[in-house]
Order: sequence, then C-alpha cells, then structure tokens
Amino acid sequence: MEKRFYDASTIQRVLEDLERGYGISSSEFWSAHAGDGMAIKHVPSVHRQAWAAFYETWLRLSGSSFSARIERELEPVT
Amino acid sequence: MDVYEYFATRERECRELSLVPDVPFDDLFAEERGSNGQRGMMWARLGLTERAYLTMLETVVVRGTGIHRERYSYYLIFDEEEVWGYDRDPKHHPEEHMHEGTSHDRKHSGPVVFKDIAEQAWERVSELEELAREQ
Repeated sequence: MEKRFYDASTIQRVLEDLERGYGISSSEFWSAHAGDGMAIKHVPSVHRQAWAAFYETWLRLSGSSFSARIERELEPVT
Repeated sequence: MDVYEYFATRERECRELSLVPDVPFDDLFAEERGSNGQRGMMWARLGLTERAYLTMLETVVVRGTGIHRERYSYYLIFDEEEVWGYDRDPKHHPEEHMHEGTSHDRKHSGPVVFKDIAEQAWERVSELEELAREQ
C-alpha cells in the first residue's frame, strides 16, 4: 500500500472548504455540534460527522486542545 | 500492529463486498504524520450501484495489539439523500447511535462493525432499487 499522510495543515484545508461551503467557522460548528444543533441544521449528518472528526483531529494536532484545556483549568477564581 | 494492517483488512473487506471507491484504494487511507503508523484516518465514498453509495469515515489509533476506532461514521446515500447512518461520536449521547433518513434524531445502536453495515447497506439498496423499478 502506498503511504499517504495528514497533518494539521492538510486537515486545515478540509476545514476551510467546509467553512466556506456552510458559511460558519469550525469553532462555531463545534459548539453547535455539541449543543442543540440549531446553528447547523442546514448541515447533513454525514457532513457533521466528517467535520467533527477533522476538527477534533486538527485541535489535537495544532495543540489547540492542549492550550484550551489549560486556559479552562487556569481560569481565575472570582 | 500498525494502521496499515488495519487499512489492508478494510481494503480486502471492500473488495469482498463489491464496494467500489471513486478513487484508488491507497487514497482512502492516511497515516498521521509523526505517529509511526499508530494513528490514521479513512474517508471514502464506496459505490454500491449507480444511485447508491456508502460513506466510510474512521479515526483510528493502535492500542496494544489491536485498533481502536475513536470515531466512526457510515452513511448510506441513495439519490444523494441519507437513508441511514451509524456513528460513534464522543461528543454525543448515546455515543454510538444511528440516524434514520435525514433526521438528526439519535437512536441508540451500540457499537457496529463495518462489514455488518456494508451487508445491511446492500440489503437496503436492493429494496430501494426494487421500489424504484416498480414506480
């Protein structure tokens, strides 16, 4: 089998296509996907699942999930 | 064990089940760069008939001597409409669920395996093609 590879930059291109196609950012999609889904009711389930898989992978590869967790855990106590 | 063993198994299953991708098999599978073959993804449109195809999405990681599907998503599409779909999505409850038609309602499904889903897809497509012929 001939090898193919992906990384954060290749995943980002997929995300940009989805964002252009559906008119919302991936972070807006991600929030709606985890919530009531109203903001993404125009997105078919099959595309939602692909978008979620690619975005989750991109978060991990770009280190965003790491920094987001730390930001959450270090939120100042008021 | 690495993701390529798993990819090869999936390619064999697709061939045995007469599922025809719209690109070469090598283009359906990818390794995560830097993972040393321990992580990967697959994305495919697998043709059943001229009007029907099955989408296949998985994100996978090697665990011990086996593969764990962190996410999967298999959708049967007929005349560009979703007929049903099976997902493993950690963001949702129940995590393993299915959708019927274009509805976003989730029904518990438990874990499913690709081969069973592909066989189910063939059965459903045969019914849909039969219905279409009668109309």
